[in-house]
Amino acid sequence: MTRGFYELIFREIRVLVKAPWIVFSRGLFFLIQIFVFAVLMDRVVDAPNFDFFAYYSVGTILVTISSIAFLIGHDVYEEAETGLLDYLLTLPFSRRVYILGRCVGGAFRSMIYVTPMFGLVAIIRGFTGVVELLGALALLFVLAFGITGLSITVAVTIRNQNRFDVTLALLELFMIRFSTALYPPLFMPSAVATVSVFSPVTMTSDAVRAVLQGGEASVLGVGGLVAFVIVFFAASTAFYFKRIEGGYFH
Amino acid sequence: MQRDLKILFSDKLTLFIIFLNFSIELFVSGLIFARMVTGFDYFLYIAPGANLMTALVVAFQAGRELFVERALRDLSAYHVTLPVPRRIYVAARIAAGVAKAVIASAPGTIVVILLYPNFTVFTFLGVFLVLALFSLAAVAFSIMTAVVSRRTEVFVTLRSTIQLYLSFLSTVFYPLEFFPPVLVPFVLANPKTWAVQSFRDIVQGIWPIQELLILSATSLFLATIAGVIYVRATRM
Repeated sequence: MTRGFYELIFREIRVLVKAPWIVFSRGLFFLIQIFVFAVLMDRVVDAPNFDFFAYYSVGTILVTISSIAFLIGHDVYEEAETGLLDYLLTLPFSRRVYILGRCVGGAFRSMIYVTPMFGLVAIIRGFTGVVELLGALALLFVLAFGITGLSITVAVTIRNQNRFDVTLALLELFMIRFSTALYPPLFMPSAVATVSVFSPVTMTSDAVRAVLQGGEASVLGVGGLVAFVIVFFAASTAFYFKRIEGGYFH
Repeated sequence: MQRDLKILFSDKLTLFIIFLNFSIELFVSGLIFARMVTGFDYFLYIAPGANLMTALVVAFQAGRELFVERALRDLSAYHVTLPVPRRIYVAARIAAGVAKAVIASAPGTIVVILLYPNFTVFTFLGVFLVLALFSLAAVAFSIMTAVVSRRTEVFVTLRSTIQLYLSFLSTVFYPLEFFPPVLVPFVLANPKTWAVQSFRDIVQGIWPIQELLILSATSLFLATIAGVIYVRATRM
């Protein structure tokens, strides 16, 4: 179990190392979000007592890690399409270890992507407490793990490529836009604010902001985040099993 | 063209999801950002850009389909054996991409037009002209990206870099005067800047001849380059 599990995690990381293009594009996305979008929107936004740049800079980390964690769905989908999944399933470890390894590996991969960006934001914003920074990173890891499960669930349940792309984009948009990652609840219409409470990105965003500012994360929020992880890990496992055993290719 | 459009209409749920994406962009993010801005009506300012964003995403699906045919499924060899001259084949693929982008973003376009008072039939015609011209530029970018990429990660990287440029270095989110001088040339070279500006003018009853001419010239130029590259790529 252990060896296969670690192999799967290392495989995900090797995939990252072998894809410098993706690292480049995500890095560029982050830099443009921070140094172009956030800076320019900060000039446009004139709400009193609200520092848009400060708020958005932390939010960008959440947006980036969410969008990277969603990427694993594309990998899983492509592996199934090209037949690589059949090979992976012949490897000597159980289906359960395979799925757990993919989820943990996907989350680790997301963390490797986002940690330098997180460091940059910490420097810009002056977050220096080591414990607070590690706590925030742990919360981001939990979010990435949950989104990886969600993304795998979508990848193994949709067979049409265009629909898969659009659905994944919609889910990503829904989770991020209906959350407090990019804007505080104060500015949200009440309906959006109500929905946003249930978004795992909101739970992580609120917890990360609280931890970075030296406060304590809400137990309810962290509990909700953990519940999200459990639900989607279970769902991805169940759907993956069903697809694998039912046979993807005919 | 018929084939590409059939692919689009074969999945009506996807069309609905595309509209839902647009609605979230405009009626959630747009509305919330508008509440943070008091100097002008930011909601109406951002509405045309949200619609062009939809057209951009759909236009890049044309490139993705082409990339999958060429690099992953090896269908290009079959396509070029069809009894259609290469130039017509390529022109039809580009035209189909534009038609798909315009059709998929039409519901959003109508919503945006209805947000403005005093719309006329000329408003509809003008806005759809802008949409078609912008879609032509976006399809050209997407086809160039698909043709020069041999690996998925290269295609994805080029696609996101171009989308980043088109979206964030344009006047979709912020007026030109907010940009630092060093970025202004990039913003002015961006077809989305001219498309969004033309869109805003037309829905307010102004005919932006200069902007439309610049947008047309840019889009036709990009489409020509994409066509030439694509025709060359179909040669074995």
